[in-house]
Amino acid sequence: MPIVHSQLTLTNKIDFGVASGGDTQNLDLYLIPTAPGNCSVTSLTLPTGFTTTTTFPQSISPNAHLVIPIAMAGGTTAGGTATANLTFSDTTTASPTVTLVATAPSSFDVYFENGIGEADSINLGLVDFSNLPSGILSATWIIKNHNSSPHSLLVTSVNVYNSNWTYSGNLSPGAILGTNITKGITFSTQQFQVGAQDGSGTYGDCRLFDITFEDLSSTSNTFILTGYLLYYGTALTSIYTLTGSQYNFLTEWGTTLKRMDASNLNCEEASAFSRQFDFDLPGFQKGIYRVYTRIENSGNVTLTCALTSDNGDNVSKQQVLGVDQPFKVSSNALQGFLWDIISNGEIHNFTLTRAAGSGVLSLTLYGFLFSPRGEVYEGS
Amino acid sequence: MNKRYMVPGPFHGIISDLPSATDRQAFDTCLNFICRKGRLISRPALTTSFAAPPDGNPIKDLRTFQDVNGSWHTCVFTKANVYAMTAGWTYNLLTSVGDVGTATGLPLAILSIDNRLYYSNSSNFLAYTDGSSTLKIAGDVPGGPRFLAQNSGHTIGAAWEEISNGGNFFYGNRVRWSDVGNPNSWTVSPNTSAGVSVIQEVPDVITGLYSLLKYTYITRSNGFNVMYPTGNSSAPFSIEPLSISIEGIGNYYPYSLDGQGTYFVCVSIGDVIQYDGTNMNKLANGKAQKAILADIASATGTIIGRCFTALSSSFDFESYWLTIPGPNITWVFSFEEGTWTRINSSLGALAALNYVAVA
Repeated sequence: MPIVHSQLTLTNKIDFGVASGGDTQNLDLYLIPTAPGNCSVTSLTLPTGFTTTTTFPQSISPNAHLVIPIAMAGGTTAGGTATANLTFSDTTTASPTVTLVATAPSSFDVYFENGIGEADSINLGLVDFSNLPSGILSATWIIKNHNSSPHSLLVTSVNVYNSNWTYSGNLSPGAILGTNITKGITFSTQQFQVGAQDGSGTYGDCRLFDITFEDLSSTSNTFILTGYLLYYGTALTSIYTLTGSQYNFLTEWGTTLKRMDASNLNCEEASAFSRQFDFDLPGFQKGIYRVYTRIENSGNVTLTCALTSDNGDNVSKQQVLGVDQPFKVSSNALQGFLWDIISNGEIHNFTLTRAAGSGVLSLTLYGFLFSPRGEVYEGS
Repeated sequence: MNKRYMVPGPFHGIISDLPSATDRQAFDTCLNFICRKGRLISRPALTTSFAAPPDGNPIKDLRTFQDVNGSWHTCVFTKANVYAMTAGWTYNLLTSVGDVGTATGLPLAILSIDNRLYYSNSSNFLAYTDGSSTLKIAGDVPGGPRFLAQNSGHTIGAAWEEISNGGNFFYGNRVRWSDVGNPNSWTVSPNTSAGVSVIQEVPDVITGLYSLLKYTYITRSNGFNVMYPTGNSSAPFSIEPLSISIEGIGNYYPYSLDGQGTYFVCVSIGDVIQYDGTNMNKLANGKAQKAILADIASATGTIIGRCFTALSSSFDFESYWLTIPGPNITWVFSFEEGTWTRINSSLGALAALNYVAVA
């Protein structure tokens, strides 16, 4: 076969960037447009760590484009940069070489939602296990894929470095934490559960876990994460609980604890109010005044009305008001305390006292009044 | 804003600030009555008696909380112990982690957060009960605060007695906040959002904390500061003087401070102040201010203020209760009526009061 003076063109470097097993870049081969005939790529030699699915020989027509996907192989556990050259065997006048560059991360690029960051050792974050129901202590974190390519994670092993803890739950060996999860997408939200409570301390205990993941995108990649959970407290066993309880308004008076019962307004202590009245009646020789109240009929109640004046008058009247008394108007039961007084004083101090425990007193809209009714003339 | 249906009654409560006989619907004295829904009614009776704590100490506080397992507990605090109550009002002593409150003898700051009850009066480290049989120290807390609040997931303490091997030191102007979501993490480090600040610009001391919505108010004896979240985890709070505070008006009586979520009430050197985040109102001015201050002047112990919205499920009574030992009197302010009355009992001064679950 005559030599076809053609020429392959391509970039002189394929940069995989920070890549992991299974990442793929394309080797693009072009035959110059003016080639006199087809080019045949008979073989492609790849360096260790790279593979292709393309079979050879492959033919390229003038100005045609042959895409050869080059993939990083798995099994890379150490970080660093790999470079290699591709070599061709073809029927062109020259066989160009291509430099392949790839940087493997030092660990699988997993960021934890708590933002601790990637590293070989990953702090799984501070988890407070205090006050959780006995037997179940759990932590939740979210694992996201921050790689440019999809990944699938397989849990291959979990080692717990403290015999006080047992393990069970969603991160069991063999669990798959998502399949082909693309960049920025959460692998899974997982609960990591451990078993029975640890009673060895109140806080500050440190639990060390190794969790090994395997990237299913390339089964030969295995990445190891280590970290620790800092644990506070013990799981809670409730004691001295209340069942079937009712709420009471409790009051401590001195050293005596009592319920203040809002459904019972029959105060056990006496209730009293007082005020002073001055009707500015200096010209009265004597005045007649009326005392009257309006109360809601809440049953019998014993009231005492006391009146003193600035001239020394001192009178009082006690009356039991309630259901048995006159002036019971209707079921709305507005009753009154009615008392007419003659006094030659000008300023009067009025006190109304409800006897302790004698009943409920509820003065209503009509309030209470002490009002002058007129002047009294004494005949000579 | 909390809008209350007003039932304006004819009674104006005790008015001591005006000459007698000025207001014919007011009283010069009024004892064991309360103003409610347009009525003047005899106060609720003290009925059922409950057993006293076995340690012989008076009760300082009572609280009910729900633990992480969903179980309810009522705890009684004396100056020496914490008891969990069970049926028949049985006292069950919780295993101590040191002095509950004897050293200072002050009322306890108690905060229900994270399904636990945290308590402190600076006698010991901040501690908590979580529904188990033992009390616990709050993690790496450096001491005990006199006042507690919470804001944006941080537990906040103020006026700290900080405890170390070198001795105890009281920092009356120090505010600390825990790591977010963890009341047991107080160490300031790059790995947490716990922090500390000192209110240095004023000469008085911190007398209380109260959170309203996203602000925490640091009350001082002669002023207020406001603490608000910044959204910055490395510096989660900013603290500033409250620009609208009346100069010289603060929370002069530390334990008179209490609230109901949309406002707080405290007693200044000359009045009873209500603040709702916007308006600062003087509740006693022109009413019973003179009489209240006279009783306070005769106080022989710590005056305590408490706010309630109801005394039972069927007796709504939004009120502020100010108890004054010495005169052994409790002033009751009805927010619905805007009136002051007084209550008492022959049993002594009202030392503790709360709405709690009783089995």
